Amino acid sequence: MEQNYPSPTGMPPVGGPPPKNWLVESILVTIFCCLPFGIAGIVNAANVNSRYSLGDYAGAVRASEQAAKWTKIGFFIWLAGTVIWIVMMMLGFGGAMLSGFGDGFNNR
Amino acid sequence: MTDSTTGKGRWAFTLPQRAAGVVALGLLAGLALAALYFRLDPARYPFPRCPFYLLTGLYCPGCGTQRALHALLHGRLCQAASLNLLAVLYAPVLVFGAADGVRALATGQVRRTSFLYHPGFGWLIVITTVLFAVLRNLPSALGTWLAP
Repeated sequence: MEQNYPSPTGMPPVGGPPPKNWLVESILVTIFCCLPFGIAGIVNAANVNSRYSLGDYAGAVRASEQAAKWTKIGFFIWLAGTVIWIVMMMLGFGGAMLSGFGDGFNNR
Repeated sequence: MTDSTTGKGRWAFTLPQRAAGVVALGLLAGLALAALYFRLDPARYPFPRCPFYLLTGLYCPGCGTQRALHALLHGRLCQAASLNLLAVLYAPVLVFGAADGVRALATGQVRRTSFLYHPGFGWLIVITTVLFAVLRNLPSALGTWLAP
């Protein structure tokens, strides 16, 4: 199962090392950004591992690109949302937001 | 990319300054976030809310993560687990992944042979995440506990 990379001969296996799978990054987006895009990232990350272990290097690279795409989309939407949030707070919408959307706020 | 053929210590040559900058920035950002969440309780201060929850009224897999992080930083493991079990379970994975990334940058060679690249582990994460997202929205005792 484990690709022992680099191989003892010093030559990488066909196709080279596994492409970056973005698993950790997509988990971060999923549990911090509160957006479904993170799950799309996680699924593609798992796909990178599967394809690579099956020897489908091109497929692994494609899945890696998809994982990167969804993870970045999730991250940047969260970033934009956070910036907008901060701006609204500064403009004094904070109180309205806090009372307007009661979301289990007092569950201490 | 320079080869350390001068024997002036491999650190100065195999570690590109860009990588050092990335690691330093990452550590600083992490420490700043940890300090922020340690000092301020997200349940009482106006931290950004979950947009998914505001739009749909459903809990996403991430709802409660900020409060869980705050509880974790104060050593309240049970409270953290009840706010967001997923965040608590994945925390060691994320720490390991970060350490792996730092090591890859420091040594200049990417060895993707850890369990993070195991197909079984990848799908385990997928199944756990989706299951958690569904279960915490179901009206049951378990769902109530899994909800933030």
